[in-house]
Amino acid sequence: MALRPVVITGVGVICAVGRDPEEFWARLTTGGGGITAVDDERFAAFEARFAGQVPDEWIDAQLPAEDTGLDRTARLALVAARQAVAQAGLGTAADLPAERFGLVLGKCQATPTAAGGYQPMHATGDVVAGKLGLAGPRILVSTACAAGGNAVGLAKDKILTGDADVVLAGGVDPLLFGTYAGFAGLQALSPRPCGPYSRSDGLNLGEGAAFLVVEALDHALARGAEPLAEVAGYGLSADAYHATAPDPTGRGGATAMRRALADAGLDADAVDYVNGHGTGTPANDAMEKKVMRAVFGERAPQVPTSSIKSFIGHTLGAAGAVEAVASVLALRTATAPPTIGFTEEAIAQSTLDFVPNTARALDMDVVVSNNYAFGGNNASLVLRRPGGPREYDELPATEVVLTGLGPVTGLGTGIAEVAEAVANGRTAVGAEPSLEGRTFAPRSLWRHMNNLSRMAIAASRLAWEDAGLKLPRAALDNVGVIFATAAGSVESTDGFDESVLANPNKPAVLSFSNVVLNATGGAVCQTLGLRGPTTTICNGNASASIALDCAVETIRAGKADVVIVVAADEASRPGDGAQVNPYDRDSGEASASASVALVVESAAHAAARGATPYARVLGSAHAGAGAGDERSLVQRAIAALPTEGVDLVVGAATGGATDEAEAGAVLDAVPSARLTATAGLTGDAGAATGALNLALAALALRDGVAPAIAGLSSPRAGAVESYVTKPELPSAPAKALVLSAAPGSVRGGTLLGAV
Amino acid sequence: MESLTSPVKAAHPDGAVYGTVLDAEVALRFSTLDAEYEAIRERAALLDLSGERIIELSGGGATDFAQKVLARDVEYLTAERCMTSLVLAEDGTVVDQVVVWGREDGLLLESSTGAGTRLLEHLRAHAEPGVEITDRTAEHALFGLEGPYAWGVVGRLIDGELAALPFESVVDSQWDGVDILFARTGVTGEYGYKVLVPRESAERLWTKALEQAVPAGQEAVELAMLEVRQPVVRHEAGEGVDVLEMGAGWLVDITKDEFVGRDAVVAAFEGTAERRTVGFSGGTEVPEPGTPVTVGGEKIGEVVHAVHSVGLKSALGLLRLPPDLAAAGLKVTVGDTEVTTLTSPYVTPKSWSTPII
Repeated sequence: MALRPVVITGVGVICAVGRDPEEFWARLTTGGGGITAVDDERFAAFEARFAGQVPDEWIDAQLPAEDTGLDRTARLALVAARQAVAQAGLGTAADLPAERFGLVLGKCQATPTAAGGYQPMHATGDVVAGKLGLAGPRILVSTACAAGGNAVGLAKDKILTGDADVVLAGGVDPLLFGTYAGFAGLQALSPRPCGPYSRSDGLNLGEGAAFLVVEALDHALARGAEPLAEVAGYGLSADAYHATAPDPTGRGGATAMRRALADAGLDADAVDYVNGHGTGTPANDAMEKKVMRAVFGERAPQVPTSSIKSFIGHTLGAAGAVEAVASVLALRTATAPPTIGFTEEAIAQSTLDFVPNTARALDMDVVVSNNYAFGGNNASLVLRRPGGPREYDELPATEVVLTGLGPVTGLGTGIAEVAEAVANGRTAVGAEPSLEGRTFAPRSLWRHMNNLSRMAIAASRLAWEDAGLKLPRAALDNVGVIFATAAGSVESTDGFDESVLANPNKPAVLSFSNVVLNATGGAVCQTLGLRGPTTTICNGNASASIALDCAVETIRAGKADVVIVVAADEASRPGDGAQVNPYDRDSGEASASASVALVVESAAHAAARGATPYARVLGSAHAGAGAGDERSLVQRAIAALPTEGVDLVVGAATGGATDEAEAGAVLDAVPSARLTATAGLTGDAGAATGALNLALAALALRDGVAPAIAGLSSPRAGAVESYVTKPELPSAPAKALVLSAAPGSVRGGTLLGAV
Repeated sequence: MESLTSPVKAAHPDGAVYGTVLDAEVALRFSTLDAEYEAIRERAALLDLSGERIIELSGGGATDFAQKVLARDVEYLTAERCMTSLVLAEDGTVVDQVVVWGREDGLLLESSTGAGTRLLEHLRAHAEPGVEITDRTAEHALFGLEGPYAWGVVGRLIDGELAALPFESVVDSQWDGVDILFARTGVTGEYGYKVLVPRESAERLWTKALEQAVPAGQEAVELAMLEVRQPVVRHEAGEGVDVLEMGAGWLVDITKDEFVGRDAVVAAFEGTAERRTVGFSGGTEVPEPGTPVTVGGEKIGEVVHAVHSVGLKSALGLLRLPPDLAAAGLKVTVGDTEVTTLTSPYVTPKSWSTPII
């Protein structure tokens, strides 16, 4: 099956060796490294003081005056994003309707606002989309150090599904003091400019941003754009091994590369050059050599592999995107950038070809870019020289169903308890979920886990059991896990930050490993032994529906038959006993902790094992905020879906003022349906509320019982009769629309159908 | 039940010296203790583990049964992991120390040397409906590799990708067209691996492995185990000795709600221990178990077990002393010899500073 060819038509980059692609490439191929002693006096606290920093003037000279007050992360991102869009020839709104232009941004860290203090993970993406006028699908992917490469892969999926015509994909991360302290605490930093594949005595952190414009080949050619490289395939995998250390066998990395090559329809012999992860830590470099030998066998020493981290350090969430840009430029210029830092002795001892110290002319057709991350997330990207226009097959319309539900909420643990609570109209706003009474993981792992991971593992296991899944080991290697979270672990983030504040040389390293947003997804993979495609989505309360999209795309692309979508968030503030009646003018708002997992499965796989699904996934759409108001954003998400016949809408309302926009748009678009939301049962549990909406809509389709808003008396829009105020529905619904929202950023709708 | 003998005995090197360990006849030495010890600590040694019984627990109730009879938590032990656990009697005394291999349907228990019959009887005495207990020993042979370069042998003999497996990983693999079960384990502090091979292919694998590694007998292995304080149950579990006194608390998990012997272990954890176990070295005479330990002529404890350590070139063993004296760095008298108590490991394994490449 040859799917629609997807190409890159523009690249942009800013990092320690260059402020744009030209300078970046000139330095990589002819110049020296950009790793220098950190200027910031605070870093004097550490023994290792080298990093790949971007001078402020490189950033500000490329930004209009109105952008210079933005935070550093946004400014870095804007510089690279504008370069990529300009090269692609997409400078004006007339080139492309805003709704058809999507954004996938990879980020590893929660980054501060200009004034300090964390902003939502998706905030940087919103700034970029807002400034560049992108109102299509919007995804924030946070698979730590694999995020940038992962973003390019997800962008390709969005083109294949037809959700967007063009997607700007990239990654960004600034150099942050806390992160530096964390890596120092893990003893992972080199005290001098790093030596990947040679000294392997530690990494240097770096900072930067890179973006790539991704679109269909036919679309690019039709508008006269020049394809720079083809995104031939990508592969994701989970080590299911450890929070920070890579699986030493290289199994996870090899699997990601093999999956990427399979996605590209290529075998390992076709690969001409590998842009390696090459951080310079002993664990990474040793593991990567094993990956090369596993994938390429005896040919491994003949496959040139280099690490540009030797020039710019490890730019974390940006790394995969920066390296994808380098890979595009390598293809375009037929030049492999070197790995610098090799001594003559190291060259002599090298068992593989790391392109030591000097760039090499290399005619290449196929390049693989690899990234490996905390949480055991691996991503490989296959890029190749663009081919001409050709026939292709559409992505198969594989039927996808929900077969297992695993809620861990204050309302109950497991779907039986929650269903009973829903049917009886019980609420437990802001209540902590209970995990007493059974263990959900080996005790040796469980006792070191934070609350978020415990909830997510419990939810995943409960969903797994609810689905009645019993798979042999080999099949578990292909079960995917998509983790959705708005903010990750509050407990670990606070604990780590406090430790760094107290003494930067004594950071809480266990908490640090859990600060990356994908840590919990990795813990789920590790505990359940799942090694299929995995990623982490951080778009506020819209994370779960976007994660479900990723799961459906993974199944439709034939990359997995079973994917667990697991969403989890912790209460951002203590419960205050507020009554939450979504859509009511007098409703309070309350924050809650919860995790909800869904087993997403191809209908054929479910049928073959005799499972009875809750619901079918009929379709979905997401829209990024554009010029219009919040209500028009909801309208755009709904308008993209065939809503005739929908008799139940489970909305994203959480009791606040933005409920009005949602209710107004729903009552206009689907007047015959009745509207409800689950936040009145549990409070606002971030991404988990998005997943609970999906879960309880699926339950309603099967059982005819829906979450009720019993206390609704003065709705912000329409009449009380338009809402579900009693759990028992007049008749079992045939179709339910589930809405999701990160207000002001992205809103979505997922259409579920009865089986 | 028949005593166990090695299925590859015919392929053992000439001159091997055999002895009886509980219900098994095992090779004590293939050549000399010094040479075999040197292979374990400096290169790679091949172990014939035929004195260990392989007992399969299967059926729908296998995991629940294993949870009941094992002192550690195996509820989520997957088919690609193994772990070590004690098996206790109701009174908290040790029946055996086993390696539990996760399998897709059930588990395998690997007894310690010669203790398989006792283990099997204990399991059958606690049997429940829904679980089948099957002695699979006769169908297989179990071999081990231990040493700082054992990973190289794995690479040459089986598959280089298996060498770097994480500790306590299990892989269903193939050797020369035969299905084998492979695990990364280790009891001597060195890199360690085990291969469970069908009996009909056992001699072929043993012979091939002999080309790559030096065979080491029970004496060398138990010495190397003692040097890193890996328990050898039959030497250490004396009459009325509980797991805390043995120093084997790490092989039980009292956070697990229920298992045979738990009440006794909990009582031991909550009570005031009268004795603790601590290592010692000194002198050249190897004292017998029970030899009094004295300070200033006053008896404070006794020797549990001792051997001559090739690595330390002196006697090495374990003492059972009052808790406040069971600490490292003290001078005490064993018999007539002054010895020093030690903190483990007593010998630093070379594998700790040898990377797998």
